[in-house]
Amino acid sequence: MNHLLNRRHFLNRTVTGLSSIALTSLLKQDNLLANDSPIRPFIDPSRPYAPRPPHFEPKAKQVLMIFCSGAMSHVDTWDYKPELFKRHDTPMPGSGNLITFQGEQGNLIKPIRDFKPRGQSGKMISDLLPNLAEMADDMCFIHSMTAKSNTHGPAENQMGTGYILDGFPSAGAWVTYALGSENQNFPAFVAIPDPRGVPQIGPRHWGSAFLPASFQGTAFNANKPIPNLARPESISDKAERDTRNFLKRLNDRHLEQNPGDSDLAARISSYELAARMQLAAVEINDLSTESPATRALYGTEDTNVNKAGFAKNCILARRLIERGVRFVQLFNGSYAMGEGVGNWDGHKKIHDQYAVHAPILDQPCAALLKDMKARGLLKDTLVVFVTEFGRMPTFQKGANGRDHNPKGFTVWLSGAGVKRAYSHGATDDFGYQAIENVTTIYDLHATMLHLLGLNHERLSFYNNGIERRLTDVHGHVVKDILT
Amino acid sequence: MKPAIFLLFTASAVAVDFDREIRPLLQKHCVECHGEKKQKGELRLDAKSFALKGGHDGPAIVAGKAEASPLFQRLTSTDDNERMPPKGEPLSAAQIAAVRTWIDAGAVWPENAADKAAVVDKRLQHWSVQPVGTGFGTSASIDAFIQASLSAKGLAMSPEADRRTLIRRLSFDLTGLPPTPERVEQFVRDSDPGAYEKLADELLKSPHYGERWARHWLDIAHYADTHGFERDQLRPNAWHYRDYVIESLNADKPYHEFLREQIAGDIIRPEDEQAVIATGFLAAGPWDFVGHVETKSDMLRRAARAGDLDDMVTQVITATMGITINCARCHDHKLDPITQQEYYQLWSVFAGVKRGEREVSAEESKRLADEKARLGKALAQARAQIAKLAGEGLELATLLPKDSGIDLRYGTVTKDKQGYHRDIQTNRLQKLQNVPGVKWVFVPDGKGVVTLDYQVEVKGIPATSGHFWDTIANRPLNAQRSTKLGDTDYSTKGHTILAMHANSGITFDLIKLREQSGLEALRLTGLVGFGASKEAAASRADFTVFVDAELKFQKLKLRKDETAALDLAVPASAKTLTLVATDGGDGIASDLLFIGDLKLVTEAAESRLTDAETVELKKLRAEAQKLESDLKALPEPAKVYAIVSDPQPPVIKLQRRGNPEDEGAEVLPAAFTWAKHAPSALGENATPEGQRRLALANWITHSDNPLTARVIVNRLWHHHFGQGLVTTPSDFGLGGSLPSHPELLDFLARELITHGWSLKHVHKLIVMSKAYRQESGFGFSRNNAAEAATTLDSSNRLLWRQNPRRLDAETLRDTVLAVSGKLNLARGGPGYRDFHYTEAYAPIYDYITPDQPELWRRSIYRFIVRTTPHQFMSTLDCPDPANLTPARVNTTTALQALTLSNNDFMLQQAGHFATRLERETGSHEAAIRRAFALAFQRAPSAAELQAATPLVTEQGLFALCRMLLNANEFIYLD
Repeated sequence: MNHLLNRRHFLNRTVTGLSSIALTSLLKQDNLLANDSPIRPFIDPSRPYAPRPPHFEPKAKQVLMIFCSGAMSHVDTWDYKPELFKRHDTPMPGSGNLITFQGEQGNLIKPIRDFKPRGQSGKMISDLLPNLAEMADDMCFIHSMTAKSNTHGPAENQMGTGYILDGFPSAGAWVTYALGSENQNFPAFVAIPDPRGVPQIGPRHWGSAFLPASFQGTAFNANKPIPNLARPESISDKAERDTRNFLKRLNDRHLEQNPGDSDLAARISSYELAARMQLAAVEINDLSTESPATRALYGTEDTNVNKAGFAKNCILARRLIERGVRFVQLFNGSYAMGEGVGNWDGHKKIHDQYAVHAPILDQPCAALLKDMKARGLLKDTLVVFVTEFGRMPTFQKGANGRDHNPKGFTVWLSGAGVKRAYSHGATDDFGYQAIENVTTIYDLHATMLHLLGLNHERLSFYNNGIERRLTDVHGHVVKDILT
Repeated sequence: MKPAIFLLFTASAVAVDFDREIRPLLQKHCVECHGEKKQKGELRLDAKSFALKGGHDGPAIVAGKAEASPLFQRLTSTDDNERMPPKGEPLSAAQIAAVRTWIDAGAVWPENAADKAAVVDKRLQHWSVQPVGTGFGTSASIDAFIQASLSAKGLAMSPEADRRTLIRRLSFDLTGLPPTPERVEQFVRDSDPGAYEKLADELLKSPHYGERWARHWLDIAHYADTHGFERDQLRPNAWHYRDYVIESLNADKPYHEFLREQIAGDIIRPEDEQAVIATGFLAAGPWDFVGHVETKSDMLRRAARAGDLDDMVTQVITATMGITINCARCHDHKLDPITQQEYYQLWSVFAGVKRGEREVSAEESKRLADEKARLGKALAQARAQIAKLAGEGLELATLLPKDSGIDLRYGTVTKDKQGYHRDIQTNRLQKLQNVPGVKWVFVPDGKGVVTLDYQVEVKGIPATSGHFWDTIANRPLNAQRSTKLGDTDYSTKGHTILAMHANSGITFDLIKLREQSGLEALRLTGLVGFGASKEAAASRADFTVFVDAELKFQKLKLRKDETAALDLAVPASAKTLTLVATDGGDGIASDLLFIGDLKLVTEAAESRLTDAETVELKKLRAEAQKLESDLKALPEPAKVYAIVSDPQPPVIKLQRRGNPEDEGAEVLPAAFTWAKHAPSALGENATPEGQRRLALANWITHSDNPLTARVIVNRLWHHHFGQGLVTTPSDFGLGGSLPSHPELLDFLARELITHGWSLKHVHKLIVMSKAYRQESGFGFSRNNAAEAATTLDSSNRLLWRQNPRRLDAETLRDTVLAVSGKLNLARGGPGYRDFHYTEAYAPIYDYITPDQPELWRRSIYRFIVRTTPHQFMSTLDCPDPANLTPARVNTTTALQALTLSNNDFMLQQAGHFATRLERETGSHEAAIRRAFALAFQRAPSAAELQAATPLVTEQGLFALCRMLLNANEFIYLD
């Protein structure tokens, strides 16, 4: 049975006929291999989410990745460039006949909000996101991030999967493939789409591609439960119990006739997990157990339905992290609603567009960080706040907005293993191009894996003749930002 | 210093024994960087032939002249950066002297065994590129090979499985469908010893065989029905290729022909529709609309093309020969002896190939277009005469072809759905060829100049974004949600719609219209309004009418709740009438304008018709009706999503580190030299595009190609046993697995070739073997050797039993339908679409599960969307068509359990299953027996019957059916 194609799997399947000691010793042998050899974790097919050891002592056990869809402008938020105020409405020096994604560029335009020093560190952050700005002392900025594509789809692919092409496993799939989960009643990897919909590449953000499907993210949010979770209303509780008991009998008899087949046993236990998951999933989305103060902190009752929906998703993210889910992806913004309407893609009227988006993100996301900190969750959880690329310091010719800019933008991290109130790398005087400690998405992924105790050069999966990695053949851990 | 050293060297000039003094010195100080593992400066000093050949800068040793030998120069250099060895102490004076003497004396290097061995590139001896073995005697058989390797380990095959297991296994393997209970019964009771063979023949002849095995091939071709990438648009004509694969397999087309057609069918038999369709293989993978078409960046365009060529080359070589060529895109292949240059030589073969729609038959397309033009013209004439006689006025919308639209970019008539287009030439009049009465269409931007053909500029079009969304059409547009203006629904009989999404312009030819109709002074009448949904974003649009260059009507900033009535004079002298819909300056979103009952009516008072005129009118009306139905009956020329070829392709250059912006030397079309069955050169840069592909197709399918036959028989084996003889079916290189039974693999490859490349012959050999027919269990109870077997061969590579397998996503879905009795066996044609499609910049696909016969077709006919995976299918491990999938990975997850228990499709089918049982049986017991026979191909045991009875009594047959479809026995194949 060609299950998880891995010779140890076959050993495992026959474990009833074998001493498990032999298995252990074989596994040990693998660890004696050379230091740069690929590491393919041992997956027990009956328990794909069983916790698995990292390669070395980790700083972080879980990841919360917050993705702002549509490309958030770094020059209007995190990356303070006084020169833009000084040179407002003048041509960008050296820009010549620069053609970006949508065409020609107009003049440099100052940030759409003023910047102020924040927290004890005095980090300059704009007024666009006042609540998040308050958390500056807990953030570790990378101002010199670069992407390989200036087009949303490929760039989202790169941030999500490491490759600009379709067809590669998401970072969350890699992490759960390596580490399994701490919670056996829940999928190891959960993606929480924005109430307005999904980003441009949609489910590829949490896809498993050629990794086993067990490691794909399960998508649901506060408004939309896990698909096929509930039994149909037309089936009574008693009928459900009776039919499940009958199924168990059928399967048990079948297993008796096919002794030693762990695939069959795995499938029986997957129905048991499904039953536990049905209970756990109802519980996780029951926000009535949250105090009124907490709900107010996040803004779940806000009159702006998009903000209230996102706030509920933020609470859900925290609850999943609390319950040991390995990798949680939280999305802000959707693609389906269109450019500048549902996401951060401010080409035309960035003042108006960001006046809509910033409030949806700001209070709930800041509350999430604050709440996680208060509950001690940042000790073991790495928070990574990203977007697919940045935006131009100029406005597009003939428009009041900024075009795509993959040459320099900002992401920030917080929590387990990263410095607080720290900034790494820098863009030039205008925020156009990363010039100091230039960082790539490969580096970001390498650093995430490193913090989880995984060697990004060794964690691999054999596919079509190649030992595939999240970081392809690139990536360096950004040591500067580590505690 | 120099003179002193010089003296010293001279002083020690005595004969040197190479093996005693020089070889060890080279080994110790040089070979680490100039040997088998590393070849700095492309120089090797570990073996005679390499050392004497030299490196990147030419020979390193000039026999007889130490001073002139770079090797000696580098040993004695005073420059620290130059002197060898680079690390550690320089060689001693005595050692240097020995080298000098050795070279001066003629650099005599006695060749020993190590020298000879080093020259041989071990990679060239890799098993898979050696010629396929021959001379298998009459005693050779699958079972003989299997038994031999089992006996070598003291193991034996398991006993033959029972007949119920065999018919289930064979039916699923060959057709992907379960056997009917009646066929099971017949087979189990058949006393004919040839019953099994009869069954195998019957299944191999079944049309469902092709449907099953096409799925495996399409996994390798990463076929889908949309483009993928950011703007995942539809490929409505890709299915022809899917049907080609099914029909080719059913016909048992010789495999080498099957491959040749898929690579170069359009060249081999251009007049054969199926051969042209076959090239859909080359186009089956994803294609990036933004990167190829929409982007303004040439760099992105080059990157997209590079990705495209990589995908094409990788697919062809991996699918046919199982070599992972794409590793050599950035550097020479790390494992296999394939150079980066060879990789780009393969690009050169495909340099003129682009993916795209093409007509299946150019001749037939032309005939249809001519016929359409002829009918269209006659119809326009008839209508104009009717208009004149009856004084009804001329419905301008009806001049446009029914059910189609006019593409504003090209002036062509199209049925295709359009979407957002922004990178287009504005204000350019596109002449229409086959639409009598209409002169031009264009996309106005209000800024540039629109000049009619007699040099008159049209002035007064409001400024626009210059983007457009859809065609101009004589019907509602794709995104149109309303056809009502005021109280009139213009989609009803007796009314017309001319739909004009902003930004669009159309010019009618008044001279032609008058010629046809005899009408002179006219009035233009109609009602302009929005067809967008009421919920769509608030938006304004403009509508302008020109008679010749004169602005005759303009309504600016029309709101969605407004309409504007047209009623204006068109003088007898006017030559053109131009209508323009523009976006109101706020973008084109929702600016879906249309004009209801747009007419040219005669100014003259209607005269009473004479009797003759009444007869004439009746005749004309009948004629117009006939022409209309003839036009409607005319089929669209068949199109297929395949390849569009550029006969003189661009020259390909190597890309350093795979970077399209860093090009190296030019390359010529060629295959790789690792496989030595035929010369690898495939042409020059002057060789026409198609000839290159044909040459590659011939090279791949050459009967001495060591890989092609081995790879395909291994793929067949893989699907029959769940594991190939080579467990990496698409990697036969040094990184792949070794064959468990190399001779057996060669035996099968040889059988394939000598039996006219018949795949069915190989299938038959495999399924007739005892190895295939074994039990799949561990056999603990029966076979004492089982424990030994699990120890000695836990992964069952020696095949001491058959491997049990889980049904894949498609088979599972088809089986559910077969059991419920709802399977719709309609074959071929466009795929079923189980989604709502919404036109958008990035189209939106929302999956739905309506309970309808069209959606009960076999899964091979699913319209496959790339970027939005089908949740039900992908949960069951249906692979992502972005990837080449030679072997599917199977997982067991709780989400699968939830999906199979609660998904709408499963519940609907469980319901149909229950209804079927009720219809076909008369009692609970009979229903339960029938249910087991349909789902498991066996009778229930007494205990099962006893357990099922109360379930059915209390919870109904539905509960039983729902759980049978979830049972392990249903989903696993023994």
